[in-house]
Amino acid sequence: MNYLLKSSSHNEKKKSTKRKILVAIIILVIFTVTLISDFGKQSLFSLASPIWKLKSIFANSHLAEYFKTKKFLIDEKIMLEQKLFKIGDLIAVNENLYNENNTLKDLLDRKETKTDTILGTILVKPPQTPYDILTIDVGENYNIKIGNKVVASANVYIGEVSEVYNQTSKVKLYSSPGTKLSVALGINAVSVDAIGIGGGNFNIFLPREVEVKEGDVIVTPSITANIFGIVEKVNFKDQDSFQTILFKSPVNIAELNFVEVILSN
Amino acid sequence: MKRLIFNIVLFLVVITCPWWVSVIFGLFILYYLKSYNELIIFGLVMDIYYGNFSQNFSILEYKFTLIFLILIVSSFFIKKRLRF
Repeated sequence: MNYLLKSSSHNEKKKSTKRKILVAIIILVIFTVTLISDFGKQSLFSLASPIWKLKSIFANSHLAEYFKTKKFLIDEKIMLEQKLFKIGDLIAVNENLYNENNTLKDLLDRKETKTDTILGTILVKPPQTPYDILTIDVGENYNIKIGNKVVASANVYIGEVSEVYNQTSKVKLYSSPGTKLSVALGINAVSVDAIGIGGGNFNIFLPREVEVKEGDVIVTPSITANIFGIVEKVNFKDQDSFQTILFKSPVNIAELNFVEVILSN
Repeated sequence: MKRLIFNIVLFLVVITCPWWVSVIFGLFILYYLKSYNELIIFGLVMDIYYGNFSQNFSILEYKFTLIFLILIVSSFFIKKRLRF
């Protein structure tokens, strides 16, 4: 009696598939371990950094400005002149108050200490990053350390350095979901915890008794006036004993191109 | 060769485009090619570039890696039921 022999090619095919899966898993593990290591991360950021810098140069070059019509530019000029006229008054008052504030601090022996800062260009920002993370072009080469505070528009605190690489650093914004920060709210400087909810927005839970209105200023507790946010909306229901205050940073992260990293905390 | 070109293009998309563009493009390649298990590496790369890591290690912080892993595994079953 003759029996049909088992096909050796079928067995070989099965073996080769198993071998392929094993090789794929081994390669995957090697890649994962390499990428998670400090060396892997440094290499990845070094690889992307030149492309990000090039992208940032193009983004900051305002190429689109060359293609605007004459009428558009005239309209824009008139609009900006009107805006400048309104702001001019505010600047004069602001400077006056700033000088007065400094004089009073001097009288009370509380001089403002000059902080050592370094300017950084933003290479990657939301919406490219999903969690309110910035990548800036200064890193270990400029003595940046984890925990260094980051400010924008001279005195608005926006986040802290969370990871440092050779030529780049990652900045975790305070508005990153779930991040808590102590702030002072309104004229009475009520001390509360602001919780980041993403996209430069925050919320605060407060008892209803605390009076808060739209437009109130939120500052970071310090001797210098560091504006942290402006109240946008106050939500509560009649039966609630708490109110939710929604506010956002005065700085629009999406339009931001440069930040300052405070080296001396 | 096609695979290598896709890898290079996906890497460029990851570092220059918003995260959701990378996810959509990755998904397209996953269904265009017969198998595209490298996608998980790109998930890891995206997590390293854009992730928000705390001091304590947690697998849930590798969200893109997990998303791509789920997409790869589900593609095995979906592809069997789809005709290209």
